[in-house]
Amino acid sequence: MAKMSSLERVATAIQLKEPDRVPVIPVLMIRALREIGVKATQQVLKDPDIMAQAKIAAFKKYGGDALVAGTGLNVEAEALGCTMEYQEEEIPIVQDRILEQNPSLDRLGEIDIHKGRVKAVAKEVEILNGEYGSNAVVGVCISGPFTTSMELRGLSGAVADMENNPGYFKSLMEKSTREIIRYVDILIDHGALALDMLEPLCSCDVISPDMYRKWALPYQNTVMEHIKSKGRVPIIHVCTYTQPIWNTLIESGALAFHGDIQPSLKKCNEDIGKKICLIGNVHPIDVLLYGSAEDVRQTSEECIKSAGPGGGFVLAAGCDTGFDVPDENFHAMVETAQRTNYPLN
Amino acid sequence: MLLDDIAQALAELKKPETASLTDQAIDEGLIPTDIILKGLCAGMDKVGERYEKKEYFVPDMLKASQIFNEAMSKVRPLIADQESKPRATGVIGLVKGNTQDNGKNIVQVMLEANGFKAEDLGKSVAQDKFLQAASGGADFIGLSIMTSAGVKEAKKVVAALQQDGFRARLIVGGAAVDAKKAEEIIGADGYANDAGEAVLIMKQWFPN
Repeated sequence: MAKMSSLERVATAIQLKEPDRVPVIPVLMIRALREIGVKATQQVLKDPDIMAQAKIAAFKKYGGDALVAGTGLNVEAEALGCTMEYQEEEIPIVQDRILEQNPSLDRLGEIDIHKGRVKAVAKEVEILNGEYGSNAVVGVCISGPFTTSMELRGLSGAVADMENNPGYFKSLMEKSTREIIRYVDILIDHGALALDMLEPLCSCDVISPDMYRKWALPYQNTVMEHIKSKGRVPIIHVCTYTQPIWNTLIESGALAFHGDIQPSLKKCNEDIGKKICLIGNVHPIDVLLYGSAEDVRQTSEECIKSAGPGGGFVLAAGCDTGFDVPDENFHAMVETAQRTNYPLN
Repeated sequence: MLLDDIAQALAELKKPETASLTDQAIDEGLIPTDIILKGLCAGMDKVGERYEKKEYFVPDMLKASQIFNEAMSKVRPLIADQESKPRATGVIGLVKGNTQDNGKNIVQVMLEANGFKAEDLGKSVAQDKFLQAASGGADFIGLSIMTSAGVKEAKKVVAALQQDGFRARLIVGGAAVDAKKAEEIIGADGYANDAGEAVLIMKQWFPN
């Protein structure tokens, strides 16, 4: 088979077909900063030039088929008024939830490019797209409506709302959805091709499948359909144990499912692998952080064996990678994919 | 039996029923510690079992803890000081930089339900807070660790505790650790995979 560009390779996998070889995304966001010797301070995270420089340095060093702009969660929550705590080696975390004490949605305002890190992430997308957009996938993370609502209101308050004031919670979900779409539009205007919707709180370790279907799925679907209407690629990311909602995730409209898929990538592939591209499943902590390069190689090979045959699979870290992941472990994952050509034996 | 009914009502997350049955038990003069241990704590054990079996989820645990705490507020004033002495006193919190507190909240409630006084230090807790607890005589310190940077932070907390010679038992848990990391990297005394294990370990450390 003729050699494909990274863009063609991932696009072929998303279309559930076999590319020239197994595509691979090592997922370096905060971790990329280490490549240029900086930490994740507020100043750095709000500087698109530094952020892009870090991602490019990581891409040149480790390779892979996609670059991921930004640092993941909470951009929307920050832009909507939550106070953040910036950390040197982690993504910023919500310190004060704007709706925790006073639930009035009027306090939220609207997301625009001047709020929080929105401009920084959008500009970073633009720089990465300018450098690599014609050859590789330029992706970016967005927070999902459920996770965003939880960040704004807090889990305890939101759970009480679902039971005692479902009308309010519905309004909150609708508001989160509208604001995420505003953010999506800004990112797309700056060249984002793939948008990975992060919904860690939709894991079956946190909420029930029924709650997922009622309170998350319809709003996710609205965002996913909007992304598709703009000709871009929506991906859903849910962490850890997800088996009871695998088939429901497909209804979100996402074209790919990314995660540290539990209990088993093999089982997931058997259940839904013909319907949605799977992206994973090298565990970012157990394997990438604490494992050896040989562990990473073996896990990568197992992932490819589990979900690679027939295509529709991208080898990737199951979640964002930590600041201390050793260089050789990224190399081991990327090299394993690069030497695995289709058709697989 | 009334105490079984309390446990069952709580296990089924029936808030008004748990409250009214608790009132009834108090009115009938049942021993307050029996109401707590054989009624409310037994109910929380059932809730924990259902969570382990994936029949209940985090929102259910939050609801159960709310029902439990409201019922406890009725019973607690009736307990004499001696009877209410906890098995052990300590703190629990997410290490600095970590904020996903669902698991930590569940562990805290289950410890309280099993006779431990576990002060909740909350999320992204600075190292000094844990040291203060230790210097204040805490019997145990619980660290919840959700990220790889959190592991580094926990290691620092443990090193600081050891350097200062504090003897509080240290238990860790969370998505970023397992038994091996807890022992070899962090240097904790114990690791709990879930709230049930945390209670078991604590009961071994602090038998009545």
